[in-house]
Amino acid sequence: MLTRRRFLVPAFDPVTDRLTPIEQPETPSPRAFMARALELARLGSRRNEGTPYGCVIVKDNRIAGEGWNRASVRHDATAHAEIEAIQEACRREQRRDLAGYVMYTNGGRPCPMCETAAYWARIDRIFTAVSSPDEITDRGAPKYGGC
Amino acid sequence: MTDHSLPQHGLVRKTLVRRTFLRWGGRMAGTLAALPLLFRGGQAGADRSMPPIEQPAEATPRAFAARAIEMRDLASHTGDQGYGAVIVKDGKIIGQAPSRVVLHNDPTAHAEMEALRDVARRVGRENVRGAVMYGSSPACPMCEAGAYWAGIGALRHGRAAAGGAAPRLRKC
Repeated sequence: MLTRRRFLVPAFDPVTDRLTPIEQPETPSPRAFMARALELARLGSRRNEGTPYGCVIVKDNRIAGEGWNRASVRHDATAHAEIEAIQEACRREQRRDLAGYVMYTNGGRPCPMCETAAYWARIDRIFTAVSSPDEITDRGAPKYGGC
Repeated sequence: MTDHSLPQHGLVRKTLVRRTFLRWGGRMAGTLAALPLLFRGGQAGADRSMPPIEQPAEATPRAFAARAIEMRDLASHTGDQGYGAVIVKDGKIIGQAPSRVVLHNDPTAHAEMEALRDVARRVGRENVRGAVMYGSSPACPMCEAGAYWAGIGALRHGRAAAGGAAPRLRKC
């Protein structure tokens, strides 16, 4: 089984016709989740799949969905990391209401598209960090239109 | 005493080298020119297996708006939220979609976002500059920012294709 720790593999595995399981961090903590988001950003941009952005959706100290920017490889301007993570979390959890879930993402603040997507998905809180998993900023609940 | 053989030899050699270079250069140029055709077949990443979109009889804003309304009706017939969207460039529909929020269990699958993804699959380009997006309703901030990222030039909505302003990333 390909783990997602070192290799970025799509959530859906066409060989086994299943969703690839997410490898959980050994010690679940906000720092570990943010480190994973930053790692996804680094791995995705290193493979030229898009700009360096990564995102992790978490509930009960468990990663429910991961995403990274795939705008270049998909030729899709809407394939931002946060959108990909929300889609994957919804596919895995088989629900479109993510109330009770939080989002860890890198960068200053999600773009208005991603923040409104988090609003529609009813994500509880957004945590961001620019480059270090030790400096996490709580952005609160997502706002409609980023306002 | 002058030896004419050396410069002559040099000239012959130079000419030969130049001819070889020209020949190979011509081949290289031909190969390089054919590379995009060989590996891309037109547009990189465009999915040619998708069935083409049926174009309306006349290419007018009303006709495109009517198609967006058709997409909205398709969405509500499949039990989804009643929204539809169409993306038009150079008088041709290049992407269209109904809302698939309920069907795909995806809160980001608004009609406008799905239309942008349809364009991404069909056209294979991240940016469609100068395209117009027709929605059955005004776009929400998520879809408007998505249209902004995709380089859409104008947003129109409703049966009368009202609006026409460029999408904005942030409204505040």
